[in-house]
Amino acid sequence: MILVIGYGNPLRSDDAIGQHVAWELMKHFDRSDLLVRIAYQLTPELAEIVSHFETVVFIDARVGSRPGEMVWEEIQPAIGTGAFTHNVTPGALLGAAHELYGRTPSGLLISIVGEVFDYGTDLSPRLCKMLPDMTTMAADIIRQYTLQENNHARVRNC
Amino acid sequence: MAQKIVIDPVTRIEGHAKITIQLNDAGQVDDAHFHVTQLRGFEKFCEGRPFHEMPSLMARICGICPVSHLVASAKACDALLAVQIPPVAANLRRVLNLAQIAQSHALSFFYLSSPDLLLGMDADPAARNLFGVAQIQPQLARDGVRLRQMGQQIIELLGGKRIHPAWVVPGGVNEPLSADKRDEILAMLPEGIGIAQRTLDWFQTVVANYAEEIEAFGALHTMFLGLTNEREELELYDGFLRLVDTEGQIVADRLKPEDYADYLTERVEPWSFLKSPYYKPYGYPAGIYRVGPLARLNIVKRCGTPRADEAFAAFRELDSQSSFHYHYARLIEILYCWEKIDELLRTPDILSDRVRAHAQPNRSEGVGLSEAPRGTLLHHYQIDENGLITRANLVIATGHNNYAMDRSVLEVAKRFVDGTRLNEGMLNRVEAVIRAFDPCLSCSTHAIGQMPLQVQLVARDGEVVDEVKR
Repeated sequence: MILVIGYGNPLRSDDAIGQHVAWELMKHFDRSDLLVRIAYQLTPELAEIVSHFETVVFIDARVGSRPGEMVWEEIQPAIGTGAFTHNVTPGALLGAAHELYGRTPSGLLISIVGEVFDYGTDLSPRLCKMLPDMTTMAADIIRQYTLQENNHARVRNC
Repeated sequence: MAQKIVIDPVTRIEGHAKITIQLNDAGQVDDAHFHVTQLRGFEKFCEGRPFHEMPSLMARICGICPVSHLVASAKACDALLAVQIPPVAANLRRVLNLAQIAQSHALSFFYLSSPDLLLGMDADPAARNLFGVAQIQPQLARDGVRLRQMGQQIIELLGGKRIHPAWVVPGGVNEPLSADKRDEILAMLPEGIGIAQRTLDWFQTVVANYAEEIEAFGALHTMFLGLTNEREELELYDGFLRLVDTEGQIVADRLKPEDYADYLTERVEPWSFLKSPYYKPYGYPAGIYRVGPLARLNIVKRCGTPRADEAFAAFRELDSQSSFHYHYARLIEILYCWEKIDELLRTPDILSDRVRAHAQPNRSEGVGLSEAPRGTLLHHYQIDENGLITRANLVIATGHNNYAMDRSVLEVAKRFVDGTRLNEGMLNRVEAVIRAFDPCLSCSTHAIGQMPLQVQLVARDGEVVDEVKR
């Protein structure tokens, strides 16, 4: 099972691009093994939910010079590090799932460069226009990643 | 040579603060201050906004306790409308507020303070976090996460989202409760009650290990302020204010929130952006008081729910002046919140669709008061003939405790800090007294960010003679 967490602040324009892409994935990405969750920020309470999945995909906004650029990286669990208050990183969340519930899903962070982070409930026109393509791309990344993970799992099970 | 120790920023609290400890020539603590170093200015930038926007705007003050601001703000708007909201709407707001208090207390107790309580004040700072707790007592850590989850789920079920729900509006709430949602919430509560009871039982086994801290955290005696009701029970939504002295005697009772300016005023100190309210008839600093869970349990005769009342009886046997017992009081309130939600959701008309009174503004001034996790919260608005805000004054829970925190830092520093050789345990105790109050500085200054600890020992001439970083 795959959990997609799209997060960001919907009152800060493109900061919510992760939420928007996650919503689109939920609408158009036809996979029965996928659950989408929307959040303002990652909180420690998500650790319990995260622990029930084999793969967790985090989708977030980031700053950069090329709006709409999408990068992805595998996330390793951060075990026993850092403050644990009301806001955590993807790695800390995977670490918390391991520490508290004994299960560590694999993690993938997809981050998308935003253009406008000012107050506003809408995406910038540029990201709004790119949203369908970004959703397709995110779906492809998730597909490739889970395929790769399944292959690794098969190798591990041999 | 006189020296100064600076703890900047203070860790495991909500927001940014700094502690300075002034040493005398012999290296002993001479004075200490708790500085709140952030400024946000909500009171100013809401001027000119329509009053009905205030609940949503004010909720943005805080991501931890937005519901408290939502409730106090909506009550101030109710006063502007001059309406009495439907009783069911008041009970639904109560449920929302209780859920938030429970989850906020869980954050304070389990995430921020349980590492000190389980691992000890002198433990390695790298391990003094919830991960450290999980390694020694995983169930305690999981319980903290679960309590937070439950509170947030209830807020989401009622308000539509976990952070900044827009369900509470001037005149009531904007949607009735459905039977499905009620049943879903009711089904969660036995687990919450079980966790709260289990944690209280555990806390009672460790509290004796902290006799020295209990004594030091209790060296400052102040009055207590909080809401109560006709039955003299714990009251978190409505009622009247009561002030009791250090002996538990009532100093002032049946104080009406709308008359707050007659009996409370605020003092500005040069070392902090946070104002210090005090009881006007007694002057400053004699009129200083504390608010929050410890204060609330010190001003009432009972909680009003069965299990919380049992725990309350044991609590009253303690030296309930000590700020260390904020932790104890917080756990009792978590238990109370779940029990009270259960009681409210079983009232016969809780599913009624009469949940909002509609009106235009009928007054130019309105005050709303409720109990937030950290204490008494007051919103006061003035509007013009078009319903636009001309003045807003917020008296925030953490602000009420400002002077008490400041002086507690001094008392604890005097007891534990030896200026000739710094160590982590000493400084952690100074921070721990602040954590006991669970200040929310984002609220009280109406910030977010990383909170490393930097402690410097600075000579009077500015030379840094020692430094500890975390």
